[in-house]
Amino acid sequence: MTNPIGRFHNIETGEIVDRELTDAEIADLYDVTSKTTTELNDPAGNK
Amino acid sequence: MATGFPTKANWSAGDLLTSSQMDDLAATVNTLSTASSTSGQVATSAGANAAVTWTDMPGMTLISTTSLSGASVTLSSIPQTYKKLILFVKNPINATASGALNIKLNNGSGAFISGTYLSTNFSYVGSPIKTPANYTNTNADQGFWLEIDDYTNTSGNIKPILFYGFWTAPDTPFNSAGMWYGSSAITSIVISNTGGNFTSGTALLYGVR
Repeated sequence: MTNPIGRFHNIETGEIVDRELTDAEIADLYDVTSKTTTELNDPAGNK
Repeated sequence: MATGFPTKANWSAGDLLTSSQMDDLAATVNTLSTASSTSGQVATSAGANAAVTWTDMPGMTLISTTSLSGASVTLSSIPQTYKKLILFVKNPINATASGALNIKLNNGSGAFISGTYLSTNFSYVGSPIKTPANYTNTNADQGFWLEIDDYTNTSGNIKPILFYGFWTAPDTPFNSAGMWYGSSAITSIVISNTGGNFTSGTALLYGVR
């Protein structure tokens, strides 16, 4: 089974490439897990 | 000849005068040179008696135009030479089903926005920037406008955003404001539609000086 195609436009070079998304890119695309503002302010969890 | 008068009487348009040619050996007259400028730039004062600097005209510049296609559209290597970015996505159509539009800056989930459509309030915390309802997949008369201020800032953890747009069935405008959390400069934007692959539409990216 193939992954969906995504479009990638490099603004600096003007190059536009349509290619299959990697599994990691798909995971990122559909990662809509919410975070609290505390987590957003402190992504490393240091506070 | 009186002091201060040029020694050459017949100047042509565009002639560049040196201090000695202007009989201004004390160099108290500042001349305007285009030697370090590029076409379309405007002269800006650098202070009293200082040479002018040449800068790009303030305003809004269309950086890129991208046709929407596939499961996602990624705009990368965004120039870092503006004060603000504006992303205008118009007429997004997908082949499968109506869906919300997601926008990720630097492929992250750092939105904290709140807004309204009609009489409904909505708020997102720690998610992608996203439309508060589904866009009709078959209707082109829709779009959104996303403004990202201070997008090159790397010293703070927030970037102000305005996000507003319009969808159909029923016709509904929305508006929202908030912040994008992240200490990195914004160099990429990923646009996707939860309803399916884009089949048409346009993403216009503007830079504001």
